[in-house]
Amino acid sequence: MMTTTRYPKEGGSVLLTAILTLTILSMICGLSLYVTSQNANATSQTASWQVALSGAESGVEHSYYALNKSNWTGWHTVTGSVPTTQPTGGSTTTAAPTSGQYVYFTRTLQVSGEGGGTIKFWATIDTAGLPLDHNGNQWYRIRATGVATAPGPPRVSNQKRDNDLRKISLRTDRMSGLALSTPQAARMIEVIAKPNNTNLWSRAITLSSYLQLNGTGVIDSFDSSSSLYSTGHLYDSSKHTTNADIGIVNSTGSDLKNRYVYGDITYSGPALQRTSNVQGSISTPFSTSIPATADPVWNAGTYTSYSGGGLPVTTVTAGTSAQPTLIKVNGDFDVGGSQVFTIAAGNPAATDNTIIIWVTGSFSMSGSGKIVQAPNTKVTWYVDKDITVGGDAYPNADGYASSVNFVGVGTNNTVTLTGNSNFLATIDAPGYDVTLNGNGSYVGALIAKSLYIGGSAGFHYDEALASNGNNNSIDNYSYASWFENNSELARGVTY
Amino acid sequence: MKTSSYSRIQGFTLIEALMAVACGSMILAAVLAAGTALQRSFMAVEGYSIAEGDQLRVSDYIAMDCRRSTSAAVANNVLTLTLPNYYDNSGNPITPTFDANGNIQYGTSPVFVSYYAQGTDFIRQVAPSAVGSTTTTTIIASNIDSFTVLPQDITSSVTCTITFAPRFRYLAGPGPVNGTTVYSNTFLRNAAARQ
Repeated sequence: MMTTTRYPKEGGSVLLTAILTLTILSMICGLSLYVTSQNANATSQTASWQVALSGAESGVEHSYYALNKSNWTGWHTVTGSVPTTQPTGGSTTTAAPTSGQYVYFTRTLQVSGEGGGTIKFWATIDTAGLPLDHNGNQWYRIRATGVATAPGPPRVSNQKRDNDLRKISLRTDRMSGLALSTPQAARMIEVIAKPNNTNLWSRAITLSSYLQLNGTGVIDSFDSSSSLYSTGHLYDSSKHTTNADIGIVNSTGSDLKNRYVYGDITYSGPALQRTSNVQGSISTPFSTSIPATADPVWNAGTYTSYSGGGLPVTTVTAGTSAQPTLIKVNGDFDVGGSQVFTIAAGNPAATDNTIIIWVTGSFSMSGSGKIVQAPNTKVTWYVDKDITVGGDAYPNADGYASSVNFVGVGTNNTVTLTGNSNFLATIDAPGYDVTLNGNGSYVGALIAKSLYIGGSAGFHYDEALASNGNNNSIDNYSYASWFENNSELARGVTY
Repeated sequence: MKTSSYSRIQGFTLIEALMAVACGSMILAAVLAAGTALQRSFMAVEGYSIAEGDQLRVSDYIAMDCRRSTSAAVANNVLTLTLPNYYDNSGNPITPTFDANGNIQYGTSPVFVSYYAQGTDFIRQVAPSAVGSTTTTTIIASNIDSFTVLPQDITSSVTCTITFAPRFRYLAGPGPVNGTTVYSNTFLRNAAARQ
């Protein structure tokens, strides 16, 4: 008889153990993959949300380019109110929108590589019903929306709190309500664009560097061409205006110490310090090209030359605007002691007595020295080095800032004004550091490298300078307001 | 007929059985230890993933509100941002106007958004200034260990430091790493911000 041996329990146990082990490992693996997938999905949605902002900002940049360059290629004009969804239709845009119109631009970009999708943005520009500003210029409202696809399944993020912030559209567009084939993130920005004039005298002060206010005086404006805003065409604090605008290319080191400024300030660089008493808007950036100054070029025999080092001549007579008197001082020009330098009018009855004086050295007035400039006479001083005016040294009998023009040539020079009465002039010295001290005020307009105002000196901008045959066209636009609309009306969420 | 004996193949000696049990126990222990370690590692990664999500969310919230604020202030380590009153009562955007100084304004009363840590929660509070409006307080992150706002140069940018302390389910305390710190520095787009 043959005996057999059976081991059924041993074999089944191994198989069961193996199956159980594999099942447990598979469950762990599946759970890991599920959680990892959710994390990847959340990360993908977060990345898309960030990309959507870049898209929206591209729309804003595109709008600024169109406004600054008047390049409306690809834009369309529509009559009506700005829509809340992507605009369509309209006619080809040829100019910035007027009241009751808006213009729009759309673009879609394809993103290549892993996780690639599309980025779409559209931007609209309209006037938002804003009136013209005091310079007669229109401000614009820009609304830009960026939309980025969110690769991955239409699944709510496992980061539950993300939903309140990012508001990913999974199956329907949260803005339009239309069905979606791919989840997407959308962000909308609203920007107000402020126009800046190209005429340098359309501003009270144009600086390439800092502005520091340390005195008790104010910066304000008046209009010598209007009796409503001046008395006898002179500054009158009771009639002052609030158009003393200031442009600063690089604001590093600027500190207003809460002094009163009656005008708008536009700047680039770090935020201005202590601006609580600026009685106008503050916006950024400020971008302008300040023209460099240069010495005049005169043909031999057309001008009279003097040796410098003191007061080379006591009286000069102005010519006409067509044939101005030309004077060149080779060296420093200093009116010192009790000396008097007289600028007489060639024809006192005429209003265009004109003289140009070129000083290759410094211009200074010291002691009780004085310059007497006849009425109806306009003088332009070209100075290659420092300019110093003190005391009551330079009474401008004509009474208009446009009658005395200083042009500072070169860099790293200074202008120092320390008078006890008002000094009426314009100063175009883009390479000069200007210091205004003393009790007298400066009346006119200024282009300089930097400006420091101390003592009780004020700065009174004459608005008439902006319309003296100068170009008042718009140079560029700056940001006056920036806001991201992250609301979701369907859920009653605003901020 | 003589039958053969199976005594040699029917079982193991005691020594063999003990050896088998010992080896099996060691293998099982190793598998259990490895499994536990893997689970810990997975939970640690998951904890960091959640912390990273919290960090991104907090950073994005603060950055979004800083960019659109008109001013910022810090007091008692609470960051308060002043936002334009951009929405009407129905939640629709309103039309901007000029104020008396020529500034752009949305409505007349601003909205204040505050950020602060409360225990281990990080809070975002929206407080409209209009009379009768309600204040909304939302927890936007957990496991916050510290929150610091630097008040310097607050007129142009806001710098925040937030440390998260991720906690892992199977580890006591804050875990092998005390926490992760995220720094954010956001430029105030409406740099007309005034002190």
